[in-house]
Amino acid sequence: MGDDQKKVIAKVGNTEVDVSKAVRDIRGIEDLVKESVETTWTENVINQMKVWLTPYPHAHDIAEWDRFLLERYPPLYTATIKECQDCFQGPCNLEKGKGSCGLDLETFQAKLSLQSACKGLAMHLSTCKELLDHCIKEFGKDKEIKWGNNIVYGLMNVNILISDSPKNLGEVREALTYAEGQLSELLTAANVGRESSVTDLESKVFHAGSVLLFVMDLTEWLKYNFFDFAWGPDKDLMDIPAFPPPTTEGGLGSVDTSKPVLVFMGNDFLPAWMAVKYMKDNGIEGKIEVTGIGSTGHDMIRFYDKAKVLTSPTRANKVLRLGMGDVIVLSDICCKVDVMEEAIKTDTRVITTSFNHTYGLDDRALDSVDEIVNDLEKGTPIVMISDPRKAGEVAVKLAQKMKGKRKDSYLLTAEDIKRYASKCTDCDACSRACPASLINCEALKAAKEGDFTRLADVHEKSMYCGKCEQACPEGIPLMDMFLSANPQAIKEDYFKMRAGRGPITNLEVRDIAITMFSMPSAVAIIGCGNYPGAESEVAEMAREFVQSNYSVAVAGCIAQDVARYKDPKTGKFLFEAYPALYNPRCLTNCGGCSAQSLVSTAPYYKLGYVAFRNPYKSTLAQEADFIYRFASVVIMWGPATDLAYAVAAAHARAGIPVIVGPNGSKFKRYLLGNKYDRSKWWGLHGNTGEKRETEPTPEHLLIPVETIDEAIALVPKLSFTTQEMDVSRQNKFDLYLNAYKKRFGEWPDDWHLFVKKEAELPITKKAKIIRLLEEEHGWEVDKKRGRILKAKHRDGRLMEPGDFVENYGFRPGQYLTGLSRFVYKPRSDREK
Amino acid sequence: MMLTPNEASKFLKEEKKKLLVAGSICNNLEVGGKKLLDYVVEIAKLTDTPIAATGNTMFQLKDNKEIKAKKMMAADLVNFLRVEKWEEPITPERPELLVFFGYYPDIARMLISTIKNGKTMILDNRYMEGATYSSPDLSFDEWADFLNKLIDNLKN
Repeated sequence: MGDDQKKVIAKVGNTEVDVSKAVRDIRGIEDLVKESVETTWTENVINQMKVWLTPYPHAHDIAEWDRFLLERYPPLYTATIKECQDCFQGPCNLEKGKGSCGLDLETFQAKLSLQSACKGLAMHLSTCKELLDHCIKEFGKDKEIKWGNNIVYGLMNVNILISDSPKNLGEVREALTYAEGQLSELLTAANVGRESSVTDLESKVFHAGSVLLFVMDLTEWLKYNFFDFAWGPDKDLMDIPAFPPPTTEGGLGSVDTSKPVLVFMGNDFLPAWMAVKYMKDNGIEGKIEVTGIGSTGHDMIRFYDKAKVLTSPTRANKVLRLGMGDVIVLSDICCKVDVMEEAIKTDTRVITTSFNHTYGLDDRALDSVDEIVNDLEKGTPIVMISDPRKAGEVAVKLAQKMKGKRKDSYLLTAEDIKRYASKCTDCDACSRACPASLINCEALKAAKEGDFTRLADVHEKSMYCGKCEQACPEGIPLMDMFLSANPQAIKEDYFKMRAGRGPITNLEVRDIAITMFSMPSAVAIIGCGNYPGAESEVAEMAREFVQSNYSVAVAGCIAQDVARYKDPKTGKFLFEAYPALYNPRCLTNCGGCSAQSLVSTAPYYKLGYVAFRNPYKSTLAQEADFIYRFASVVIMWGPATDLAYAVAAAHARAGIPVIVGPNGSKFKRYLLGNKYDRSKWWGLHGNTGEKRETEPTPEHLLIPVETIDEAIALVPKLSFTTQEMDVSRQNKFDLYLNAYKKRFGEWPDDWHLFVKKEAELPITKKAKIIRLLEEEHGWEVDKKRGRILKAKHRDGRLMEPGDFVENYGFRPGQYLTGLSRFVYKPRSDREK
Repeated sequence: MMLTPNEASKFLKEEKKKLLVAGSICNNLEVGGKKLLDYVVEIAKLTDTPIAATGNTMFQLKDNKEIKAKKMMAADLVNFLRVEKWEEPITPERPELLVFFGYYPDIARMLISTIKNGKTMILDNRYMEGATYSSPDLSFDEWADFLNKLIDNLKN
């Protein structure tokens, strides 16, 4: 800030560098910047490029990297909202021209995109803050934060933004203050008359995502430090594959309904933690079924091995209509807003605990437990208790009292189903309302005659969103009919899984770093588990990837859907069948919603083993530039919630392509590359600055697909990197061609764009590829010997194979970058 | 514009640069005793129009020598339409009319909303407001009737 800024000298080896010039404004963070440079930068690199850090960044500090991505992957908006009503001068129909403030339709879409990402960030920020406040009240702000035994670099998503992972709760609070400030700034930019360019708005979307992962990291570490969450990094490497054991039960059929049943819904596990603690302290552990829907379920199983995960949040209607819970405890996010109305139908009592979900009720935190239990037992349908300890105790006591006072079953009888079915007028309104086209009046016609098969099929695949029921002009309770059509299916809804175990460890990445050059890739399947289609769909994907030697990590509610697959031959569920190690042919569950940030830490660890350096601190652009060239793919199969939107943006910014499923059609904005536009596909030689054309990879940063087959076929293609070892390219090529042939009946039309040399061609297909290169793409080949004689560049030139490799893509080991700032200075300039 | 079968067939005959886009539901859905994909194939043959086979539809189309079909990702298709230079070889020139079949409504809405330089037609059983042309809300029987009438008109 100004030429008269005081110097701050960091010494690395024999080189001194004035780090006051390494940041935009060093005031107040002198020690932090100095330490970051001295502990992570090498003397070599300091002499080769400008030292530049972005601690506590605004979006604009990382915008150069964002612009690089957005230039290559220009946002494609699904402009279903075309009228802006944000200010007093509107509404403005932007299809007809600019709005009063000057905004055009595309920029308006970008503004909506940012608003969505901010909402996603706010959700977890709120949860983290609440958790932190609780911890500080319980333990004090000086309470130490540990990282875990095999966590070398701390909280990666925190380090890349603010250099240092917090050491105590007070520092966590400071870190969270940064996040809150960023949210405020980002939301302001999304307001009327602020940011006016698509690129700048989308850069801020990326930033909202990065800050969200930062917050999620903090949340995870609070869970580990203060609530006994299962934590893989504390185990020896030899023990990690079996940790946690795949003995956690889940599904509607896992619940012992002869006992009182507690159902926890939402994102805040604290009430559940308190309930379990109360049960343990009073010797009634195991006497009450403790179950969870959504994120709470996934958190509970990490600290209580008897807890059960029921289903994902959208399918909560199943649990509510079944009347499975004697008591439901709600916390914030992911809840349906009409839980009380649904619960009343089955005499279920509800306790809400979050200030974000108050139902207009007074807080009874200061009332006695017995008084509250008494009121609920006598018929009050719902209370609000903000004190999680009290809420937990009330829930346990009430569940015991309510047992036996409710019906044994709330399912419809066969006669009920037929009676309701006979009300159908064959209008197919249900069919048009169903987002997954699962139901139509034919199913009801059959049910009228006693054939419930088609209704049972719907139960198998439905999200239980209830739109069919709302659309039905005859008021037929369709969801009850789906549930009741095959009661056996409810009993058979059972699976086993591993509880989440937290982050990937440095040791696992060490082991994978070398095999990474031959194995296909790493795939993370994360997010919400609510999507149309069978719950086993995503399990099929996970199984396919594991069996194809990918390293597969899961996080979020989707983990329970992955768990549902049972091998008919071995009888094992997926988590039983594969080790829980972050290695090829393994399946790791990181945890619930906040654990989605943990799957991105592995790429940062790769820096240590592939680039032979520590991850830099406060250098997101630099790390993302590196990670962008190393294959990992994220799949988000669930719905396009604001939270998922921000998570996807964060991964895209980190250079990790994201595939979204059919429900991702509501993401509103995609980041698609165009393989035909050659001007977009280049890299800079990191030593010479030469700009060289590369393969179009990864082709997309955020792409929606319709089916799991498309996702499976796309992953190997998005895993191609512009510089990879022969055997790695060979494997991915084989997977890409095989996936397309198996699932679509033919090879993809663009395989030739990824051919650079013979050694990379899959052996079993080499002869065919060589032939087709000549016949379809004009290469010169020796078919008899299976040799490429002359390769045809995309610009039409025929080249010797050696020249081709130097003119298309980069060789493994060559340093390449997307930003000219990262090109090493010529030797003659290195003293400057 | 809400279409009758007559109008739909008229537009299909008039527009020379068109592309049929078959989504994943085409494989699984039966309408009037036939797979939805069968109707798409019939329309493709009668109008000599290629099919962009998205989802898993290509598997059922690959051996059919009477039509031209190519596996594409729906997102790729709409992305290519964004730029002025049309390079996707499924059609020699940029298609001016895209005809969608067999998409979940949210996906259909998403795809249609991205297309700025061209017309869209959707012939599913729901009226789609953002499309240039759309069949009305139909029961399954009415939908079969609509498609059969459309095909009869194309034959004449």
